Amino acid sequence: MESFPPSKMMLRYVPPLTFLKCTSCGTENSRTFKEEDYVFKKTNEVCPKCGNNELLIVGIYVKEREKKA
Amino acid sequence: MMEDLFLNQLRGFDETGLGMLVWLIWLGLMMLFLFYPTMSQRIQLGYMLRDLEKKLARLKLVKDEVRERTIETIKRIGKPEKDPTQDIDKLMEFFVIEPESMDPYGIVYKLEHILETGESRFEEEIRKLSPAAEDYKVKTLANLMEVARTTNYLYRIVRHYYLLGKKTANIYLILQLQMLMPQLMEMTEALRLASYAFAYGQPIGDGIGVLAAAKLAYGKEKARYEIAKDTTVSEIEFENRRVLIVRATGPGGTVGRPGEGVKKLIEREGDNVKLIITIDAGLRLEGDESGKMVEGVGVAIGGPGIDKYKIEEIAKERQIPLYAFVIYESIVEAITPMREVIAKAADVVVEKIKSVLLEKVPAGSTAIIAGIGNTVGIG
Ligand SMILES: [Zn+2]
Repeated sequence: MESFPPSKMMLRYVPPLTFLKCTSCGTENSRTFKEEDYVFKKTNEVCPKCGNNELLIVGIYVKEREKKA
Repeated sequence: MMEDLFLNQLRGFDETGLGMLVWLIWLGLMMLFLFYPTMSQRIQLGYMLRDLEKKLARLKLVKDEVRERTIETIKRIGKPEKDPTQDIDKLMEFFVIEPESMDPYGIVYKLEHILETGESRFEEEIRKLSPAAEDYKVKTLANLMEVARTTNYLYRIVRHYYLLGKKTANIYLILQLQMLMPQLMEMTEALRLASYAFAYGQPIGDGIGVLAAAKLAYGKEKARYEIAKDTTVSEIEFENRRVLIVRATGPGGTVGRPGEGVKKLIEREGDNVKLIITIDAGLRLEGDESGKMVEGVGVAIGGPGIDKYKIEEIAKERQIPLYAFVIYESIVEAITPMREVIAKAADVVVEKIKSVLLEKVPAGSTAIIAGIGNTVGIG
């Protein structure tokens, strides 16, 4: 009847990533989540490609860990 | 040589009467188990209690951690004038009494009334504690408080049965608790991660229904308005069909009132509505794949059943077909920050809905799509 020891059950908190899309050229990039971020928010960060300063948050989620081959 | 030594030792054993002693101990033990049959049970009980004690300690640790995070977050975002610790501790013990079901007539509306009172009371308290927080953040903070309350409740329940089992040395009580413990511990860990999500305002797995609805509406909205408390309607036009998308108002943590929203829309639109689709996260079975979308009929809404009841009732009255899309998740995934596989499912759902709209909704008529779930972090 021995159930899982607590240490095996512990889940680790993995902060999600924020995915941004440039409203002018469509380039997508990601960074770590910052407070105040939410999906479909327009931020005035600068696009690394075209320099446009309006990016749309298109997703916030935890990236899957790559499986070790 | 070695064997000789061994034999000599055995003989020596015998001569000193040690063999006799060992034999007597054996006999004593056997008598003990014979005349005291609950002995083995007592030993087992001891082991189980120790195991539970460890898990209870972990539960307490998590409960205290979530409480700390709640206090810290309310201080950080709400900037209360005085220390909120006392009020938070008070809210951690807050309870809701379910309505009496002996006479079940009208129980859904009684339940709705009680839950709404509880919800607004909770929100009011948090608003008082967080004068600096925007409205949507107050809702997320209320969710965080709810997580703290649930963790506390879980801890108290487990402690209750542990202490009761210990006091009465009741192995069957302890056995039942121990059988539930793996799930309860998993739930506790999930609540711990949920507290991060609500403290920072990150989308959780449960929000996938809302996310899919939001993606469907984004960029095509012709009108957007509030239909019920915390519930927004976005009107879009798709291939000559009018599509009314109901969802909780983001980006604060709320599930809104989708049942009330859909009901009001149908009352307003009348017989133009040809289809109702609900999208929600659904509990997957072990072995199922997370983020997989499955379709069926009925109203896909979890929780206490009020919204589900309202939609079923009006759909039956008007003979509107009910379609449901469910995205598989585990209970842990539903309340912790959204995973990639789940987020990706939103696009699959959007495409599927478009094809269903074309197939099942005649041109010129209206469909209602309700994205169900907690909208934290989804604007
Ligand atoms: Zn750009």
